[in-house]
Amino acid sequence: MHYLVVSSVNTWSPHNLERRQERVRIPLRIAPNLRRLRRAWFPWAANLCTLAMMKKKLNNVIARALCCTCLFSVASISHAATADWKPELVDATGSVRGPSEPIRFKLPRLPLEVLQRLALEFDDMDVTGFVTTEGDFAIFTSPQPFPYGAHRLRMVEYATDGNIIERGLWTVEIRKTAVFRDAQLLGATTLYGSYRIADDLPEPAPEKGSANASARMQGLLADDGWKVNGWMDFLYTSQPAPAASGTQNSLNNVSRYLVTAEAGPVVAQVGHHSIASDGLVMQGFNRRGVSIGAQSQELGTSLTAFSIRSQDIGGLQSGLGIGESDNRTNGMVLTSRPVSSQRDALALSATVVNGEGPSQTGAIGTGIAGDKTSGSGRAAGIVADSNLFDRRLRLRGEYASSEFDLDGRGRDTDLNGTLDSNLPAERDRAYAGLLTYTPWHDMVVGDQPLVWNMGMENRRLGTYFKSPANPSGAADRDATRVFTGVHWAGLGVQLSAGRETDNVNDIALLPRTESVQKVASLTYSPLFRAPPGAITNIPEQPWYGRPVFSATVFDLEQNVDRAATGLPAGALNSITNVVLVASFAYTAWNWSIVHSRGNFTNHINVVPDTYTQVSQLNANFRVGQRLDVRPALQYSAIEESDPPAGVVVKDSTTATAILGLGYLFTENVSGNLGLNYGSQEVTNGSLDNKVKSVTANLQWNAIRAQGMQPGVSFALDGLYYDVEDSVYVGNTRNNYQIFLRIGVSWLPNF
Amino acid sequence: MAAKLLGTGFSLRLVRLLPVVTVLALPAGPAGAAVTAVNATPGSAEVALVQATLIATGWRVTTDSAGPVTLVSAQGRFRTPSGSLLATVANPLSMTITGPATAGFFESVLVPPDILTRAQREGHDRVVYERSFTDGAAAAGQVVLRIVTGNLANFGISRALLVFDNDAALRIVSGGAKLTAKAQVVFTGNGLLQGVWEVAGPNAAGVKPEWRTLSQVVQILTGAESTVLTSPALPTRAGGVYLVRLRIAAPAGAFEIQPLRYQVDASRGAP
Repeated sequence: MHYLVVSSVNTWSPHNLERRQERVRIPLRIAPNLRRLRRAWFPWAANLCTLAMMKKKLNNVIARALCCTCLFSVASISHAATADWKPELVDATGSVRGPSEPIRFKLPRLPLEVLQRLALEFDDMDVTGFVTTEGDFAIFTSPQPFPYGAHRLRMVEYATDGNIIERGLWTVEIRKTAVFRDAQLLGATTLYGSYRIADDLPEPAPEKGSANASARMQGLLADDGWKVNGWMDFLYTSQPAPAASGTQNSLNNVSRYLVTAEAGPVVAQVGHHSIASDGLVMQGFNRRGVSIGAQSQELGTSLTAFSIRSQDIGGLQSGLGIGESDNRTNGMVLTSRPVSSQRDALALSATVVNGEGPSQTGAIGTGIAGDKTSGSGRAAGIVADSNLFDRRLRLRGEYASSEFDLDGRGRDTDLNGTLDSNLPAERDRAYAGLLTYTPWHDMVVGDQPLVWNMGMENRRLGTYFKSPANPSGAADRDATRVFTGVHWAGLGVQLSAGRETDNVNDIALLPRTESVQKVASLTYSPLFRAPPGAITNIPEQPWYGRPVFSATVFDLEQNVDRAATGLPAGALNSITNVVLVASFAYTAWNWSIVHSRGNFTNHINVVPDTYTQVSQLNANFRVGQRLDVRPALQYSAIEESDPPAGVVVKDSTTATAILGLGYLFTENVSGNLGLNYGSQEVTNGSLDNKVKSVTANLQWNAIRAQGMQPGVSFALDGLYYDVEDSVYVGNTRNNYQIFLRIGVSWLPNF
Repeated sequence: MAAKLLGTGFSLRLVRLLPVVTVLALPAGPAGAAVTAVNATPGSAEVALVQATLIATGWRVTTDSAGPVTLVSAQGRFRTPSGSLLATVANPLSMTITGPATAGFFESVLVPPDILTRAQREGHDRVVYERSFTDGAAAAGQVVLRIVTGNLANFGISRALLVFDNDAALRIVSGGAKLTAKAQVVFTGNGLLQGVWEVAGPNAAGVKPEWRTLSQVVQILTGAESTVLTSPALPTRAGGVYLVRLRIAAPAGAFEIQPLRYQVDASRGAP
């Protein structure tokens, strides 16, 4: 008889199967199951086996192996059998089969040797070890809940002649309810009420009481062929506060949400989301809006149409965010991977957008007082991205064109309510090309992998190129860059050099500049080799921990290539920046030091030259099991020189020192103390201030939120604030505030 | 739409004023005196053709009127060198001083690219920004704005937005969670950015939070027109509502970037 040798291990994984020396032989007739198990391995299966072995307390090698590979547990000797017998799947006990319900099979009375040759598969994975018999029934009990959805069960008999006889094949559906296959609602809500019990604030002081409420909700509904899931973050503050990013002034709620519905190949989304990957036409465009798309796995193609708000919005007031026609961007994205045999080989995408909105001139908080002008335009682009030769060569090309009207419907130049100027839209185009090459993927030198890559890119963005879905996108650039990088034995080197010019459209009245940029970066992290032997034999760290060193040098030379009035051709700016970083990590703590120096030289004497130095130290370590210490120091100095006529140079220094302490008194009582010191001083006397603050917090989690049980916490917060301003003496103040705060948390889970 | 923006409180605060910079006493003038001089500092600036450019301008206004007098400029105007009106900035400047004296005003203005494109189409390589000040009789001053490329324009922040590390404008986190913010900054020209990451909380109530320093930002910005600045780790140990912001000290005249808001639920974090 042939045998397959498997191991005896405590954690059943393919890796362990090949590592351990202690072995057991299993008859080859059941080996296909084991092989299938190894091929189809995934964490759920690992947990099944591990938990089952722990539960059954199987102490001997053979039992462990058998548990996962072959036999039904036999409680009684069975008798009569026929060659064509069939097991029956017993119906669920309730209206639906739940994730924790054992699956039962009714068997005819079978001889013991037949029972010993039976195996059960769940989604092509052998689960025979979790089957027991009870009278005429075989019962499959999973140690952890089954995933929702349809699953395949197959019972086979390994005949003595080596054949495999399929005795039964069923599809079972695990459901939450009769209506929905899956339905979940997870929430994390917290309500804080805080009251200032003591202070010495000058009048008028803010209100003593305040309330804040937050909610994170996640939900899911699914049935055959469709699924709806969503999330929402919501924050409400009772007292007015500075307008938060992405919100309107005076709003006291901020919210973000996204609902995604899928039905077959169709996907619809409502809320904050990004539509397409970054490119010339669309970049960083995560906004509130709606989109609907369809995808075909067979064709490797998807099409998405969208309508989203041009300027991002928070709060609940704006609904879907697309109600204002002058603050909306519409478009479509088509993506395709046309090479069916190798989807990575070529990815194509085309994007078309058409939009209008204030985001064209700036984010919330920017614009011109009283300005009613809003830009509008459209853009289209196509991207081809290809990975060839076993992913050694990547070629990416992108072409885009735009037609953008900088003043949209026109400008009211004298603010009399009438649009009296209207520019035509400007048409322009842009392209970008990228080539990267990796000569090898598996080169080893001195037992260490050697990785080398190189590449080149070129971007040409027309002077007037502007897409409504890329409000921060650059324009008027013609840039070429070459780069290379090598990594070996903890050493990394990155080098790049590039040249860039502007006034791409060669506008006669404009000057042109040329910039040449060079960047060199070196990183080194010494390798720690584990000694041969057991995997648990971890070497002790040296006194300096695990260090990482890096140095980066940046150099830029700018020249005026074509002169203009008052601007002669020649050198314009020189910029050099050096950054040195050393960080050291230990098992329970780490620290790092950063130093940078920068030189900015203006050769045409329009602004002073500057020399900057910044040093900073950060650490984070634990003392014992209860005290966390987090110090941070930062110092910067800026020196000016060679000023233009009439400008007086000034030097400035800033210093920041922060010490954070956290102490865990008990599992539910913790304290935090923060000490902050900051100073700024400018030699011309325009700035001279020192700010000291102390924050202290004592928190007691009286009841921790758990499941449906709400949690309650109490906290005492203190803030001491001391400002000494020698220039703007009105800013000088010294005060404290003490707050008592109660928090109620609830983590509903349905 | 601007009415809509203003009505809903969008902060169009690009024109910021520091009204009292200097007030210098002068000898008393004759009866019926007036504003005698308006000078802008600097007198010229470079602005990008296709990108909004922030300019910071100081106005020195001299009046020979005696006694208390109010200096007013109702609005600023962009014009071509030939005098065509391009745009109007509806932001009044006003200050009451005791004359005769010279008063100083500070103003930062975002120059919209469409007016520069219009001027350039009309054959101009510059526009002017002018203001007229009056205390009964008016005088005007102007800044010459030369149209250049983005690299040559005045160093200034033209757009900025704060988001958290997951690109969201709101985070609700458990106690002890790792959290950072980042600022997406669009700029013109080249120069040294100075700023401060600041945080307020865990009781960041009221319109004047007590900001404390997290770290300084000193970084030369050049070339790329936009950059991302990342904050240090934000405090998440104590529960409550926090605000975080990047306060830009230089280039001068930069607008206030709206802060981010986040809440820490300390009872949900690891003990």
